[in-house]
Amino acid sequence: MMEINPDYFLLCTGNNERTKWLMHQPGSGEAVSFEEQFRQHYTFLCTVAYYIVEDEDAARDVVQDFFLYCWHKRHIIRITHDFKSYAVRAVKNASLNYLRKSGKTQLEEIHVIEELTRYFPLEDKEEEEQRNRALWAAVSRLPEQRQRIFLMSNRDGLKYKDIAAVLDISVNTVKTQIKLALQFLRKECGWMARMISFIFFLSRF
Amino acid sequence: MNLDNNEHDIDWDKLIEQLEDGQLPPDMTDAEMAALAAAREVQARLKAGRFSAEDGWQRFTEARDQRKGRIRVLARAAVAAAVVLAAGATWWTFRAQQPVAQLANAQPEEKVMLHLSGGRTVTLGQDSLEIQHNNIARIKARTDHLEYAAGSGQEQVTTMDTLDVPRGRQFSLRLADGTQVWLNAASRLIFPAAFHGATREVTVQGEAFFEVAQQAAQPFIVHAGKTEMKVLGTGFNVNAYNAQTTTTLASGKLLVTAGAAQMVLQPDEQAVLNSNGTLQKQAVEARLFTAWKEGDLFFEDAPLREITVTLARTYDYDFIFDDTDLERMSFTIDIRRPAVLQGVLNQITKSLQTVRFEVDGRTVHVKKQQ
Repeated sequence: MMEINPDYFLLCTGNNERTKWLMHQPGSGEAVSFEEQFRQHYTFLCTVAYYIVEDEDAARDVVQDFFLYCWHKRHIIRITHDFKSYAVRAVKNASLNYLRKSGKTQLEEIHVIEELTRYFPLEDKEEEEQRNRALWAAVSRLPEQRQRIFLMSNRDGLKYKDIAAVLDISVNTVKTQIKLALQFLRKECGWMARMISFIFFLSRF
Repeated sequence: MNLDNNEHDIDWDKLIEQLEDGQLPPDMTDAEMAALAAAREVQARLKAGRFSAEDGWQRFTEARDQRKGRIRVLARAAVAAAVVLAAGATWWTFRAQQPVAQLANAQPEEKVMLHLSGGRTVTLGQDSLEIQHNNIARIKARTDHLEYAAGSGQEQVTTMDTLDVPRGRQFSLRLADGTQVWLNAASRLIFPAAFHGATREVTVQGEAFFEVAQQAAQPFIVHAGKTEMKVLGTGFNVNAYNAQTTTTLASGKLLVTAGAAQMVLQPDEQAVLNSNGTLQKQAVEARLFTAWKEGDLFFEDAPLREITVTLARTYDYDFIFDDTDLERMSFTIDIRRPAVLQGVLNQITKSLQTVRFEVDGRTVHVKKQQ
C-alpha cells in the first residue's frame, strides 16, 4: 500500500470514462486534469525509475503502475504539498521493490542503490534543471565520434560490442572512447566529481 | 576543490565493465563508487528522451481501459462433453431456424432517488444540481455522485436521508464527514445529512463499499442486516443482498458484531453472518468483492448461475436457465464493465462455445449452443 497524505486532493466530477479528474492543490488554486498531471511528470519519473532499475521497460512499467494506482484511488487519494515529490518517493520505493522481487540484484547492492537514491533526483527544481543543461552542454562539446559512441551506449542502451559492430571499430576503441567521455564530463560537470564526498561512508557496507 | 585529485583512485576499465553489466562489486574504492554513481546519474539523465510522455499516455490508457483481463473457462468435464456431442448433432438442423436475435443493450428503467428527511424526493442522474443548502447541510448532485457538506448548525440530526439505487445503476456519495460510499445496484443507504452525535451511524441494504474518513472521537458504525460494523479507519465492502451478510475488508481494521458475537477483521479477511446467526471469518482476495466499485467485472471460477445473478442486478435484466446443467459451469472473467449487458454476453460466448444467450425484452434465456 502506498503512503497517502492529507491536503492534496484528487477531485472527481463524475464517475464515467469521459470524466475529467481534477487534481487540486489547496492554496495554489491550481487544478490540472489527471492526463495533464501524467504528461507533465511521466518522463521525469521514468528517469527516476531507470536510475534504480537500469532497464527501460521496467522503468516504464513501474511508472505506469504508479499512475494506475493513482487512477484507481482517485476518489480518495490525498497528497501533501506537491504531487511531484510524492510521485518521486512512490516511484523510488516501487523501483526498489522491483529490484528486490526480480531476484537479479544482491541484497547488498540494493542497499547501496537505496543510499544512492538520496542523491538523485535533486529536490531543488532549479538545480535539477541546471544539471541537465550542464550535462547536455558538456556532451555537445565532446568530439564527434566520442559523442556518438557515448550516446549510443548511455542514451540508447547499446552494448559495447554492438556499437563496435555498427561502427566497424574494435570493442576496445568503444570502451576507450566512453572512458574518455566520462572523464571529460567529470571535469565539465562539477557535481560528478563532488559525489566522492557523500559516497565516502558507503564503502563500509 | 581539485577535481582531479581522486582520478587515480579509479580503475576506469573496471568501471566501464560495471557500467555495462550493472554490477556493484563490494571491493570498490570510494572514488570508484562515486564515479559509478555519477555515471549512473548521467545515464538516467540522458535517457529522458527515451520516455516520451505521448507513448506513455497511450500505453497507460490502454492498460487502464482494456485491462485485457483474463477470461478463462473451466467447464465441468461432463457438461462440456455432453454439450459438444449435442452441438455436433444438431448444428445444421437449428442453424437455419434461428430468428433474428435481439441484443441486450437496453438501459436500466428506473432512476436513482434521494429521499430527504423533510419528505422531498429528488430524482438523480442529471447534470449538476444543488438539492439543498441550509444550516444542516449543503447537498450537490452530479450524474452519478452526491456530495454532502455539513452546514453551520451544530444540532444533532436525528432524521435520515435515504439514497435508493435501483437495478442497473450504481452511485457514489460523499457524506458530510468526508466518508466516501459507493452503492451498488439494487441498494439503499440511510444516513443523516450531518454528523454531530457521539457516533456516525448509517444503514445499508444491498451492497456498498465504504472508505471511511478517520475521526477517532466519533466512531463510524455501519448497520447491515443483523450485522454492525464499527470502523477503526478503513476501506471495506458490505454485501447484504441475501439473508447472509458478507463484510470484506480491503484496508485498515474493522470490528464486526452480530448480536453477542464479534470479530476484528484484517485486510483480505471476510466476515460472513449466515442466516442461522453464526458469524464466521475467512481469508479472501478482497478485490473479488470490491472490483465492482472500480468499474470492473471480476469473477473467479464462479458458477454461471452466480454470475447471472450479479449481471441481472447490474444491468437490470432477468436470466432464465433453459438448461439447468449450465448453471454449474464455472467461469472466470476480469474486464472493465461494459456499458451494456450485450458486451458481457459477447465476452462469455466468445470463450464459452457451449453457451448461447437468447434475449427477449428484458429477459435473457441461457441455452446450450445448438
